[in-house]
Formats: sequence, C-alpha cells, structure tokens
Amino acid sequence: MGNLIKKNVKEERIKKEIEAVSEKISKTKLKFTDILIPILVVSVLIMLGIFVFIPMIKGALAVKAEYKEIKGKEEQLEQLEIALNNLDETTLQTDLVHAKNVIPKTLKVSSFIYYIDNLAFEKNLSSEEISAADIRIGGNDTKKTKYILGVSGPLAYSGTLENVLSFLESLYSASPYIISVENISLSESNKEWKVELNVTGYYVPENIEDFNLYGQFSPYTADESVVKIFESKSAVLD
Amino acid sequence: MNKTPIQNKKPEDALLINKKKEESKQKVVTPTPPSTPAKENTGINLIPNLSKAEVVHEKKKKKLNMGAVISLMTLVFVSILIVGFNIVSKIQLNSEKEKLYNYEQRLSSVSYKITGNNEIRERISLYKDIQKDAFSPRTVIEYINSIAAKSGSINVSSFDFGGQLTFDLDGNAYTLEEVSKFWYLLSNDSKVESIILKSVGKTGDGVRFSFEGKLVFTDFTSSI
Repeated sequence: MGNLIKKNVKEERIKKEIEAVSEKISKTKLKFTDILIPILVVSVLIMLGIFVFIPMIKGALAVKAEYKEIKGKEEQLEQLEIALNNLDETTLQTDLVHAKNVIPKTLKVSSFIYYIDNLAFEKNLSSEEISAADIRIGGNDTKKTKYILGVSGPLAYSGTLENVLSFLESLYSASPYIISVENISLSESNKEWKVELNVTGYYVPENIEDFNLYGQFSPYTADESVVKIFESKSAVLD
Repeated sequence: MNKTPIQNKKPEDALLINKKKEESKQKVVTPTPPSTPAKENTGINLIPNLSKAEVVHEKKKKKLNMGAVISLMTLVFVSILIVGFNIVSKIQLNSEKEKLYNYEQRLSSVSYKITGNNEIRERISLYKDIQKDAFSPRTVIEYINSIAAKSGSINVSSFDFGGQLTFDLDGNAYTLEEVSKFWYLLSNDSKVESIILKSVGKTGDGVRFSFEGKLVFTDFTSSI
C-alpha cells in the first residue's frame, strides 16, 4: 500500500516537472510579438524620415541657403552705404551738372557745329562742306538695350598745312562737347591743303531706369581726372 | 518559495535554485525525524535548469526590448533636433530679412545718389571709349613728314587715316631711290607697325608712289 502511494506521488511529481519544463520552454521562445514593437518603431522611423524629416531637413537647408544669401546682400548693402556716405551730396550734384553739360541729354546740330566752325574760322580755314545728322550708337531697335546717340557729319575745310594741323590739334579741346574724329583725310592741291573728317558729338538720352541696390556700384570719384575734364569743358559752356 | 514567473527569472536564479536543490538533497540525506518543521519547509523543485538555448533566447528578447526603447528615444531625439533646427533657422532668416528690409528702406532714401553716380559713370565710360581711339593727327603727320624729309625730296601730298591708325599715303619724289629709301625707313621704323608699297610709277615729272600701312597706335594717342 505504502509502495503504491509512493509510486503515485513519484509519477505525479514527474508529470508536474514535465509540465513545468514544457511551459517554460514555450514561454521563453522568441515570439513574433516580441519583435513587433522594434519593427514598428523602425518602420515609423523610416516613414517619418522619408516623408517628414527629409523634407524638413531640405527645407531647413533651403532656409539656411537663403539666410546666407541675405547675409551676402546685407554685406553688399553695407558696402554700398559706406560708398554712398563717402559721396558728398553737393559735389555729386555739381559733377552731375558738369557731366550732363558736356554729354547732354540732347545735342542740337547747330550748337555742336558752332564750336567747330568757330575754331576753323579762328584758324583761317575756309569751309568746304558742313553737314550733320543724328546717329544711334550701340543698342538694338527691337531690344531695350543701352544705347547712346550722336550727331555726326562730314566736315571739310581748306587752308595752309600749318593751319589745318593746328585746327586738328585744337579740335578736341575747342569743343566743350565730347566729340570723336574719324576718317581724317588730308590732300594737297595747288599749295593748299584740304582736310576732310567725320566728327561725332555724343549725347545720352534720359534714362528712366529703376535704380538697383544690388547692382555693381563703383563711385565716379575713382575717375577724378575725367571729372576734372568735364568740369573744364562745362566751364566753356557756362 | 519563489512566486515570480519563471520567464522573469535570470539564469543566475536557475543556478541558485540548483544550489538550493543540492542543499535540499543533502538535507534529505541527513537523517532527521519526519515530524520536524525543517523537513516540512523543503519543497519539491519543479523548475529545471535553463538550457543554453533558453539563455540565448532570453538575452535576445532583452536586447530587442532595449532596441525598441533606444529606437523610440532616437526617434524622439531626432524629431526634436530636426524640428528645433528648422524653427531656429526660420527665426534667424526672418530676423535677417527684417534687417535687410530696413537696410533697403534706408538706402532707397538716398537713391538719387545712386542714379546720379550711375549717370556720371555712364558718361565717364563713354568718354573713355572715345578717348581710346583718339590720336593726335598733327603728331602723326609731322612724324611721317620727318621720315620723308630724311629720304630726300619726298613730298607727301595726301594722308588718309582710318581706325586704329591705318593709313594711306600718296606722294611724289624725284627718283626711285628716294622712294625706296622712304620705304626702307618706314619699314624699319619702330613706330610703324606695317607698310606696303601699293604702287609706284615714274612719270615725266618724277616718281609717284602710294603706301598703305599701320602705325603703332599707342605711340600717338592723345587726350581729348
């Protein structure tokens, strides 16, 4: 009887041990639910990365680039402000008047020719031919490109060689306007020299152009010598 | 004796259990009276040792759980970092934009200086353009005449000047030797870039010649 009870107890014990082991094995097994959270987190992270973070980073980088650009513009404006502060307002206005006198907005043929013809008269030259017409230099008719206008015409005078040379020498300085001389031709006939040349006087039409703060700015005072020439030429006209 | 769930036990716990089991075995070996309380406390150990595979499984699970926590934290951290970076960048940009706007407003009030300066500059550049093609006709003619004088009784009767000091000369001389000397002197002159004898002909009055050439422009430039 006692042996039977012992045997039963032993069997029951073995049974329980087996059950515990199998339960333990099943519980310690790596289940899909155990890796579900990491997989979900990684997926969410990837999705967020693609649809939120990358666009956000791109946006932030664009903002940074714009920031740099604005900083650059600020520096440019800072330099412009310094340059403008260095320009004396009164001097600028005076120099502008001088410059506009020698290269005006419009140039009348009569006023342009007057000084040259006057010079020829002073040099004892006789007029052979005198005419002038408006010309357009540079730019394009169809496009709104920069252009300048001029009054150009062939002139011819005759006199002694010395007088002709003297006339040519003084041609630039005698005219208060800025002029250019082209196609100079001198020929002798019966001890008299005839000079033929093409003279152009320039004028710049009024530009109604919006100022550009970010355009290249170089102060005109860098060309002081030219400003002085304008001033002296302008004095003749006053 | 031990009420914690088996899956939460550490491998060391299993060793501890084994140790206890051994102790209990020893205790069983020791003869003690059956009615003593010590024998009543000794229970049957139903928990077996963790196998090596089980220990590896446990470690894996722990690692995965830690991985999940770290991933979540990274997610939060990265989110904060990116959003923060974005916000700070935008704040900085707006502040700079405002600064730039103020600058522009300030400079717009002195725009007349800019336009005035540009108008003067435009005229200066036109003047320089014209000046770069200007030369002194007197100097050129006198220079050519001086070479002609060295050649003998050369008489230059016509000068034609084109752009960049290209020229045509017509004249006459008594002999061909004088013309050839004039040609030679012009060819070897440092201020004459090129010279071509276009025509030469002997007439009853003497010799007529025609030259075509180019002078070194920089040697004859003049200010307007």
